[in-house]
Amino acid sequence: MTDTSEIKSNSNQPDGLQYSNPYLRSLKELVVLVIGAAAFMVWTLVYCGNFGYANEKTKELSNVMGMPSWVFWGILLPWLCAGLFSIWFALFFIKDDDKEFNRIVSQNIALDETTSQNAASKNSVSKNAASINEEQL
Amino acid sequence: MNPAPFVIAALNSSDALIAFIVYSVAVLGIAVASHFVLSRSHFMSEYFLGSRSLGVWALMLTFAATSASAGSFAGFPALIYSHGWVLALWIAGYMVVPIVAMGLLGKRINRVARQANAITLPEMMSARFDSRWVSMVATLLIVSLMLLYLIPQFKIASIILQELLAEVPLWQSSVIVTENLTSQLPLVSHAEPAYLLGLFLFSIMVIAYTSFGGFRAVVWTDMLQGAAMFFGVIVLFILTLYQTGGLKNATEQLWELTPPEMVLAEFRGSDKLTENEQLIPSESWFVITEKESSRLFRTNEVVTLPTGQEASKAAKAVEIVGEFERKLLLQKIEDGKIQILPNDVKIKILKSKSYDYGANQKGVYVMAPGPSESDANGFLPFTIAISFFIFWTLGGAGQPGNKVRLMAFENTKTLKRAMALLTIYFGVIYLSLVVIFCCGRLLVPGLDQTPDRIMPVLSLTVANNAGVPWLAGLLIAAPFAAAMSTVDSFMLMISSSLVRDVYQKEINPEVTEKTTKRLSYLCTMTVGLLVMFAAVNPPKFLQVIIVFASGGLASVFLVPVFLGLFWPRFNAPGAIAGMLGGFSSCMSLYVIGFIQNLMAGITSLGDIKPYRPLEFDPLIWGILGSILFSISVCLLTSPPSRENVKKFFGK
Repeated sequence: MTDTSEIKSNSNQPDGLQYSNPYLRSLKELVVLVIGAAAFMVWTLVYCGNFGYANEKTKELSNVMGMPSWVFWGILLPWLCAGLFSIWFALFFIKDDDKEFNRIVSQNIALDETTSQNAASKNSVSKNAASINEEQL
Repeated sequence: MNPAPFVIAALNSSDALIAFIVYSVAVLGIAVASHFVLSRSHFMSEYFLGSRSLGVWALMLTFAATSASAGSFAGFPALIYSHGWVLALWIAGYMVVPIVAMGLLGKRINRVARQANAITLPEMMSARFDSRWVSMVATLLIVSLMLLYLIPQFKIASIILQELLAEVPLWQSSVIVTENLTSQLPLVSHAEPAYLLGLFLFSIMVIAYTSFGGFRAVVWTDMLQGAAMFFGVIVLFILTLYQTGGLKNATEQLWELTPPEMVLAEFRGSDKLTENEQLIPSESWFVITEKESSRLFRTNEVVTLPTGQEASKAAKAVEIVGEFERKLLLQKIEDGKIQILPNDVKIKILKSKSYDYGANQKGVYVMAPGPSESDANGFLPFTIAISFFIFWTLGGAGQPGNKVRLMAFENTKTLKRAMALLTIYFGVIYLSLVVIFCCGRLLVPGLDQTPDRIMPVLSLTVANNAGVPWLAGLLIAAPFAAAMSTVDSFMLMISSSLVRDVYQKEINPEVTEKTTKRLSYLCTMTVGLLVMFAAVNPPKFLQVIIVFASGGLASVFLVPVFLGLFWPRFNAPGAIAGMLGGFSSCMSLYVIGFIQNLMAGITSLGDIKPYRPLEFDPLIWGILGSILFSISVCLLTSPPSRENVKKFFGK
């Protein structure tokens, strides 16, 4: 799935730091993942809790496709659905934004180098100014 | 899941030896090949992280193989055999393990590690939080918990190897040589020579390929093991289902079964018995006739009859008490399909115990909570089922070994495809194992006192029935391979932490690549040798250590790493507090459990159970403790620097 909508970045920090799109996208993926995993967990546990545990009403075997029916409806089916969800999530929902990420990293590295060079040249200008002052004195 | 010692009484020695040799040659070949790759690459990055070039199949299979320890292929089948279909619920958390373990952290951890140019997990954390203290605490916890985890794994693997080759003549003469060499040596003279030989062979093999091949050798052996297990399970699934007459038939028969009784029996021979008949193999059937009824039993260990009419030592056996099963088996005895002990062997039942849950009840192997020998609430009460679902899910995501693999893949496309493949792999493997060993109860009845042997015994039974006995050799070697795949990862993680995070970062930042190389080889070898020597005298409470160490690792690392990757405000004090808080929350429940057990008169360390508030595993409380400490300490201390946040989260 190609994410054609542009994600608007948030400025959560008072000094206006903007979060990168790859990071924001990973948050979105996280939310979907957690909801999905929780849904399958609830399905399995609720169904098995109600129908998997033997009680005085359990008199005879009920099976579906050869396995106990509670295993079929409460474990096999959610497992299959979780599998399909996982495959969809992995192949189609997770965005392959490596290029964008690499571009941001390269920009940051270039910016850091420029900042370091500027800082180094400022230092050297200050040192020159200081030595000129000393000579004058 | 700790396999007890077992004897494969009827495995052909050449099948076992061939399987072992084939596997060993493959593993050593892999070490040589990966060493060749290593010599052409940047050493540290290649040795500890495979140059961040793991492809789809490598990532998927190494993830799968690292998750599966020896317990998965010995302990899990034993549980299914003993408790039935409820094990499907017990393992159900694995339905979301691929998506959580890989998807939760995968992309972010890979990217942060690349940005930080980090090779190890502590290094990545140190860069993210801009704090060497984080790295030091992480390194200390990784090294101590992983070393603790390694010792029982070495012991388990040695026992497996020992039993795999027990019938091989070359092995038997090597044991005699070992006994001669070690009987006079201090510290080792008391240990069984067969165990020492197994420990030595296993250690040498794993130390050799891990030390010289590094991460790539570890991954390639994982691939070999993962692929072998996948195909082995498929074949076992087909053979077992066919030989039980289909799944419907198997489940219907399972419904009729009731749990056996666990007995201790004493045997006396007579002068009429031949020398061969003095040794009663394990899994021998015998009948005791009382009045008009016949009681049916099966031995679960080898019994040696003393000469004359002296009584043997008390031996474990199982009595089949369910009417349905008893009639079926007695009919087979009448038809000559099952042999029983000769009448010259006199047997006395010394002790007999019924199951605390499920005795004389039909359907217990089909419904939850499953029968239990020792717990009146059954094997899996509902609250524990909830606990295990969360345990598998979060435990997998929290293991440092898995996190390192997520730092090593090539690109996001690799992660996506590997996740999809792992989903299929786990689904096929774990669901198939449940079916196989539920059916296994029908094909191999009466093994309840030593259920850890069900994997080799069932493999042998179905392979022999199908006319392919060599297949049993490969399947039985699987737990050995599984132990190797867990051990090699842990050894490399310990070594990388010591060399990179301690020596290179703290002691000698200017170290040359040549020195690093030597140190890395030396460190990996030393870790392996130290663990090998510790395993000569391993503690008896292995199971408690394994569970504590693996739960402890997840409690320590899951929350700080997760928050570090997703919460820009999270800082170094929060990370340290989270690691220590998780560790102490988990550990304190074991200490409380120890004290409670002592007060209840249980002094054997092997029987210690941790305290489980609300029936939740200590791992879950450890993670909750880690969350509490992480967030509260973080909010009470100053935020991380703007530069640091911008680097890992900003545009």
